[in-house]
Amino acid sequence: MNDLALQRHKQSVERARSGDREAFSALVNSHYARVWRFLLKWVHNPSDAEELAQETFLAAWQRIGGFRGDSQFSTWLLGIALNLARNHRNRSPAMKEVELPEESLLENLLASGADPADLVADKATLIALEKALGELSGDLREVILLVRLEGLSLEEVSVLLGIPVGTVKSRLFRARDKLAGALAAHLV
Amino acid sequence: MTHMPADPPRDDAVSPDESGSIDSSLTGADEHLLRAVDEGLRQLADCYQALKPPVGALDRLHERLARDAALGDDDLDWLAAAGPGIPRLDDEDR
Repeated sequence: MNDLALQRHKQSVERARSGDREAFSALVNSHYARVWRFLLKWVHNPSDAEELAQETFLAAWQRIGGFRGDSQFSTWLLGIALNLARNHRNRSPAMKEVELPEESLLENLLASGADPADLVADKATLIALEKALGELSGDLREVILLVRLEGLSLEEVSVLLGIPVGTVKSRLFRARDKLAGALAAHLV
Repeated sequence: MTHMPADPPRDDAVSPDESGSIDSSLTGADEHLLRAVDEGLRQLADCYQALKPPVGALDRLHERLARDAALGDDDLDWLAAAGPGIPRLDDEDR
């Protein structure tokens, strides 16, 4: 985002905080795709991700008056989305597999790649990695998804999860190590 | 709940994991495996980044926001308190 776009974005946030629905609509347009993709990483189902994205923005509108700007607006939004994704996962752990198995998701992901030649690792390895991600404990999975798949900084993840940066680092370290172990088992 | 956590809990950087002990493989993973993990995660991130929301999803969200705006915040609070099963506006219109 260049300086002008950043300034406009800040103004939209300020106006939305004071109840300007048009400004909030502009924020929705700017952030929708990212929030949807973020949720898809958790729920692995495009329709569920859409439903949760709707809930995210509805909740954001209801709470935006309380947004103090301590974090970036996008990080604040992802915090809302993350809580909804956690609730969804707790509510329907068995349904996810029926609706869209992880391998199917990855097939879709691979099919959507702009240039398949760029995919250095073979498909089976990526599927194994995606499966191993799903088998990590919740706290490890959240950190590695937020840092490595979402591209958030350690500081942003610290704010989002309410844990010290050192804890983010240690969870990231452990998650990476466990994934390497899973990958080793896959490659044997 | 959708609020942000207030005070971060203590740092558990050297604490055991959920199974009660530090994983013995913590320092055992081969460097090439860790590189494979990093590369795989990068590619997964690229795959997700290439995905687009379902067609019409953004329009449906704006419609829902407009519908909820028409209801008003007080009505929304009442509906939330009433729980699931409350008919949607478009159902009532049929």
